[in-house]
Amino acid sequence: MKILVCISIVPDTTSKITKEDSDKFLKKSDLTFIVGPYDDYALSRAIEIKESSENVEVAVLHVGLDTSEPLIRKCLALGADYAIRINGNPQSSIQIAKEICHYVEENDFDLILMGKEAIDYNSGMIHGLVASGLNFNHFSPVMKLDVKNQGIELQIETDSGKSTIQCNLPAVLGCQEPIAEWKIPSMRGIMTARAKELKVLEMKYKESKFEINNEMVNETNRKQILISKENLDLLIQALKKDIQFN
Amino acid sequence: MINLAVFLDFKLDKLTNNSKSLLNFVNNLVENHSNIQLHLYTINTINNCNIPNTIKVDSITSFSVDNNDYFSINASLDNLVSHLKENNISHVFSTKSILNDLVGAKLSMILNYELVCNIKSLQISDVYFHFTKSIFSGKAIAKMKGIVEPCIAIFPKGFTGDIVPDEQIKDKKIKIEQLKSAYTSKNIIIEESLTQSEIQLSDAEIVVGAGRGLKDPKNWDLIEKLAVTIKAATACSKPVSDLNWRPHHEHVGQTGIKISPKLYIACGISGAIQHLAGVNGSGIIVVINNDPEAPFIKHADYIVLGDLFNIVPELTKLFDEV
Repeated sequence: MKILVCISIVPDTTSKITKEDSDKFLKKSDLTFIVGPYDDYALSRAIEIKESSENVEVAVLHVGLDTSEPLIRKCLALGADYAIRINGNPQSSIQIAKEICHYVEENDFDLILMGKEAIDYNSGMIHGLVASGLNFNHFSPVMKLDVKNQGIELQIETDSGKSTIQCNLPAVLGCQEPIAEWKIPSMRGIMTARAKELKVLEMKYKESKFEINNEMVNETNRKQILISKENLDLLIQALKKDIQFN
Repeated sequence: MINLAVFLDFKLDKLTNNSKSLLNFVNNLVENHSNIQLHLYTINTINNCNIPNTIKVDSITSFSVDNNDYFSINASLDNLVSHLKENNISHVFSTKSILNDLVGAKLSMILNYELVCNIKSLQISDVYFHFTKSIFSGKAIAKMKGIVEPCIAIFPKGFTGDIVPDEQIKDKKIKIEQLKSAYTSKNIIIEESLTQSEIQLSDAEIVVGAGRGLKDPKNWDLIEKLAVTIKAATACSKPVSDLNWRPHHEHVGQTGIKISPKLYIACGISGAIQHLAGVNGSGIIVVINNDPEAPFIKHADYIVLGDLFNIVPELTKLFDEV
């Protein structure tokens, strides 16, 4: 079984986003980048599957610039067999999805995993676009994944609750916790990762119908009114002005 | 002429708050732009359909797939795609939900339409749509350059905030046109469990959230009582769902659900930056905390400092008297 895990490289969740007044874009130079937290869950589950069964191969794919290579190596240190970086600076979810589809069409995979969304642009659409582009089954957000009866058994969140589903492969899944526990690379993993293959391919779909031409920090100025615990009725009076309680 | 399809969400035959707010926004667009022709769709199973009588549309197309399996291969959306094509739909609007996201992504790829999510604002010039969108989990905003046409646009929860109160809306009953997929699902549903709560967190106008300050999962009855009193949904911080004190689907934050209710009351939540990223779209934020140094306080409209075990029951009592 061949599993492809697609990863995003995003600012750390604790990052404070800032911008210089004269710049058009947010200041990204002093941010710390990490593998997308949801993608990390997907990768952890793929490695668990590999470790618990025979003939499972895990590849990691990222569409982005060479600055992300140390983080791709980290994924190899966690236990992925090889990695692919599609070199470029994508502008939209569709562009990234097309790159992934193209790679999968040329290199068969049974299961494509990724996080339910990347936490930078938060569209959460790439898994759906990839599934549609390849005409595969598609589920998101997936909270449990087991390989069973030549297919997979999943627990997914739905708008009204949860469902457990048996589906055939190939499939594309958007993952979220508690699908697996995040893993930390072992020293042995870090050493072996150096020798693992990291292929670099060039982006093919360079055209994007639109691009971001201006970014701003979103600041909501809050009222900051302190209410004494003895005067809670004042809070209720204030809230009643804006909110209808019925 | 722009043929705009709006996908509406229903819960038990009632339009959700998110859909009401989108419909209200779309109605203003239609009134100001005579070149927009509106078409209504839903992918929820409905037996009855009432929409505000300000909307000048007489029918809604209800699309369904065998087994409710919208997760399958593209063929599951066969008849929906043909219907959209017959109506020359160039724009599809929907509100963020698990189902709408799945269907939106597929339609974008099948129809080869651009896809825009997390829309913060929208302007129309002639026949072109211009968007700004929220990025970095709401910490920043991006302006999009270029013409997004045709497109699938997915609006976040609480997009406009102006939901016309139910009593001011005269509902109009409209015809439901059933449209079934010819595809037979090959996926097997082994088990389905529905969330018990009547108010969905993602659609709630008021949310009461709690964190580790509650000290023990047994103490959640305090939060639930307040929530019932003000018809709110309950939410929690990540540490609380990690400790299994509360179910994962209540976890609000950067890696959980992002909410934008009109009112968010946070009890015993310190306000880590990851939690703030999940709630920064809220209208009014009330923070109840005994720590004057808690980071959440800088991001609150109203702050009550003190022991939540006294304050929350007192607040519940006062709300009950309202």
